Parts: sequence; structure tokens; C-alpha cells
Amino acid sequence: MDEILSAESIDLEELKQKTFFGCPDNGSTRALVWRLILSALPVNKAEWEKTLESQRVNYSTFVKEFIIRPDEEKNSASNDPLSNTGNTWDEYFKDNDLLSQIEKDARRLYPDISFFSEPAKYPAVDFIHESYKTGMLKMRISKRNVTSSQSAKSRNGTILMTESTNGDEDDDQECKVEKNWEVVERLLFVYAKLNQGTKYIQGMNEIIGPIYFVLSQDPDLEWSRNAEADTFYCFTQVMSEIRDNFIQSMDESTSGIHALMAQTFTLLKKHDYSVWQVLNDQEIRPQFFLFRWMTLLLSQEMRIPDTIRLWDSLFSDSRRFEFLKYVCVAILTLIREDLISGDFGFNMKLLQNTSDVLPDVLIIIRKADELRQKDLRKNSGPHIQLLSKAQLAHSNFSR
Amino acid sequence: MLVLLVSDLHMPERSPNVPKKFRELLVPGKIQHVLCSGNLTSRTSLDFLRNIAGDVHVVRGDCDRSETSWPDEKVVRIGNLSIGMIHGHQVFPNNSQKALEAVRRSLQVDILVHGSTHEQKVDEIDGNLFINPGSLTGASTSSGDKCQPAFALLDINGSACTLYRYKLGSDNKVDVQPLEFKKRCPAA
Repeated sequence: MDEILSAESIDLEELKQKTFFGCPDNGSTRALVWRLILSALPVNKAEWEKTLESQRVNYSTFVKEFIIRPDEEKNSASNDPLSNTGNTWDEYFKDNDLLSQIEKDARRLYPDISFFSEPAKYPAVDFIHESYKTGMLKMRISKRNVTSSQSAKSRNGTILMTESTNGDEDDDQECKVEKNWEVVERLLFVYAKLNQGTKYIQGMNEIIGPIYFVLSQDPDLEWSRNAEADTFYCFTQVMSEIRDNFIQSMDESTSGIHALMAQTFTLLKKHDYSVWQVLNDQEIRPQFFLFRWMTLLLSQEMRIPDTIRLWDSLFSDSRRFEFLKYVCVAILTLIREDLISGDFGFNMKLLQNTSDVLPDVLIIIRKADELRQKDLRKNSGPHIQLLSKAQLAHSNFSR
Repeated sequence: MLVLLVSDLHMPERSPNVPKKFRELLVPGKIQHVLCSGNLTSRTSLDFLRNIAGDVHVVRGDCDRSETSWPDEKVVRIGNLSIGMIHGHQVFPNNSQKALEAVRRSLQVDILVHGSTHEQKVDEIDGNLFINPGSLTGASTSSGDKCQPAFALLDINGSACTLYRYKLGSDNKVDVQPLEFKKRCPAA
């Protein structure tokens, strides 16, 4: 792996092949490899500096444009916050709706690990834009009650103040340090503002979470300092490929989630007929569980280290997210004994909460690879080369 | 974040309802806190305010029934600003700036919100802000004088804020005037 990465011009195909079997867990490598295979970083090392520079400056501009500028403008431009006619305030309130939706999800991101509720190492005020105010997004939509105190005069004239803290006690404290989930919130907000077609849809947080987790824990400070901006570009690349899964109106289309689930079920039928039959007989529809598995790239089904390892393989798939189908089928075949003996209720519960019964992630990947190899050998005829969505998305984004 | 300041609704005895123009402006989902400096006089008024924002703070005015649990004075901290609330009928001489300053000192606040005169009045004195939002419903005063419906809105941003003064003119047009305010010494 190091050999490939040390080359002046990185062989992406070779890198993908290697990555498929997992990135070394030394911290730095994975963050770099993900950037590369998600084409957020060019293969030519000579171009890195320029690309990174422009990406990071761009992101900083986005933050300024979408978060800081409206905040300044609303104070100067319009003099009636409550007016219902379209002005800067109107936009501001609309953004607040969006923001409160994002905040709810960002706040409860991966509650089982402490990372997202820890203070961010590189808060926006120092690393994105100097006029960013810590907590400014959160303050905009804070619904918490404020601290208030009541006073009562007793007969001898002394004043008794009774403090009533209806809100969170560390609310003040909370606004002074920026937590990692706030970084995620900001990322999602900028993404939503930039992509008016998709905006924010629940579940995106589960996709961006692990990416930010990996990138910001890079021990190399040069890289991790810019984790936020780089996460944004990696996330945009991933989203450009799975965006259709999130958009409800696209559900029924050929690239939508329903088609994807149907294909997966067909695969299952081919590789493990008896499991397919059980699911079919019990009328367990793919959308009952595959919907979540596939839109969130299985990030909800396992713990975060496993998710990250699995994503190594998913991202390095040259026909991206084709492999995801095989992984889903592999999971189903690996828990086939339970599925075949179980009834509807048992199976539903099992499929919606697989984290306890799933074997090691490596076993799943090996099994999925096995299935894929089998298929490849069988129909070695000409493949319909899926139009490289990555390229398409790239040209789309680099406008 | 936006904080609504209202006072002296006197609903329904002296005024049947909040003016329609104001009701169109004060819709849920925009304002986060409501501070009312007294004389709501009915449950309906409180419900109206609760509908605007979840967090409502009220102090008792002279016409509010004595069995309500509202305090006479209240201090609310929002951002880096502390806001004191008092209805003002207790202050003597009534509406005297010196007396209000004494109240502000005893509460140790940056902004004092009061009411009772039904007349909108905003003063910035020695780096402190005194706000009488006026009567939201335009209820007549106890001496029977007519008055303009009015309220105020604070946009708080750390230790600075912008105050918007809303008044309903006799031509049924809403007049808005902003005023910038910054706390003299930011929180230690």
C-alpha cells in the first residue's frame, strides 16, 4: 500500500484493488486512501497542493456565504424581522427549519461512541473562517428555556433570588466549545444549501459521520487540520453516487432504491434460494430492512470500526456500490440458519437488528467477494459497463 | 435569536383582541422567547403568547389577579445579556427614570423591561437599555387615555442586540424602527 501511495502518480486501479482488502489501521493511510478513491484528491501528487488549496478555500467561502453573511446581512438589510414578504429574514427562518432538522440528527449521531460529543480539535473559528462565531448555528434554533431567576422581597427588605434553571445547565459552557457533532451539523447545512435539489434528508448524517470520523483522526496534523473541508468533498462524492437512494421521488426509477433492492433480492434468489423463499413466503419485503441497509451503506448495522472497514471495500469497488448488493446477500446467507427456522416476527426483529448476530466483518466481506467471483466467472460475457458514475459526478461538481 | 417583548394586554377587559396586523406578524416558529412585563389579565393572553414561543416569562402587573404565581420581578439571561422584568406599578414615582435605574441596579441587569404606562418608550442611559414595549393590544390606560398598539423585538447576538420597535399607526400600518445596542463590557 505504501508503495502505491509513494508513487508520484498513483495507480488508482491498483490502489482500489489493495484497498478492497482493507486499509492498514495506522490512522493516516485510510484518510488519504479514501480521499483518493472517492476522487476528492487527484492521482497526480503534483496537483494535490493546488486542488486542496482551492477546495479548502471554496469550503470556507461556502461557510461564509451560507452561514456568516446571512447573519450579518439580516442585521443591516431588513428592518422588519417579522414581515412575511420575502426578505433576508424570510430566508433566515427557512434555514432555521432546515437547521433544526439537521441538528436533531447530528446531535444523536453514534451515541455509543464519545467522539461526536467531544470538543472538535479544529473549531471553525480558527480553521475555516475567522468571523465564524462558535455555536452560532446552534444558537439560531435553540429551543431550550433560558435561565431565569425570580426575586421576592421579604418583610425586612432583603431580596431573595431564586434561580430556576429550566434549561440545560451547561448550556453556556456548551456554546463556548465546538463539539464534533456541530462540525457535522455545519457540513450538512452547507451541503443542503449547496444542493437545493436534495437538501437534507435523514440518514445523510450516518453517511458523513464515519467519513468525518476517519478524516479528523488522522495523526498527521497537516491533514486532520483540514478534515472538515476535505470531509465535505468526500461526502459530496459519495452522495453524488447514492443521492438517488435518498430522494423519495426517485424511489421508483431505475437508479432508485426500489430497483436496487429488487436487484439484491434477485441476487439472493440466485445464490441462496431457500432464504429467498423463506423471506418471500413470510412476505418480508426488501424495504422492511434492505432500505436502511442500502441507503445508509450498512452503517447502522455494525459498530463504527466495522463500518469503516466495510467501507474500505465498498468505496474501492470500481463499479461503485455494486458490491453493496453482494454484501447484503452475504449477510443474509450468513444468518440463513436463523432465518430459515424463524417465523415472521422473529425474522423481522433479526433483520432490523443484526448487530448481535452478525459474524465478523471480514467474514462478511469474504463471503460477499466469493459470491461476486462466482457471478463473474459464470457470466464472463461482455458486461454492461455501468457508466462510471464517479466520473460523471466529478465533472458535475467541479464547476 | 429573537425575543419578543410585550406588556399590558388587558385582554379582554380593555381590548378585545390583539390587532389583526400584529397577529399576522406574530406567528409560531420565528421567536424563541417571550417576555411579558405584566397585565395580561387573562388566560387567553397567556395562551396567545405561548402559541408564539414555547418559553414565556411573565411578571405580575397590578391588574393581574393576585392568585397567579407570577413573580413581581424576574431576571432572564439570554446569550451574554441579562434582562430584568418588572411591571412598573410598584416603582415610585411612576415612570421616573431615576426610580427605574434603581430597580435596574438592584436586579443587576443590562436591560430592564417594564410596562404600566402603555406607551412605548426606549431609552439607552449609561450603556443600559430601558424598554417599555407599550401595550400589545393598544388597551386604554387606567385613566382612560387611548394609546397606540405596540411591541418590541430583540435580536440577541452574544453581548450585542438589535431592538426592533413595532407600532401600529392610526392608518393601520405597522411602523418598525431598529436600534442597535451593545453591552458596555462583555461578560467577564
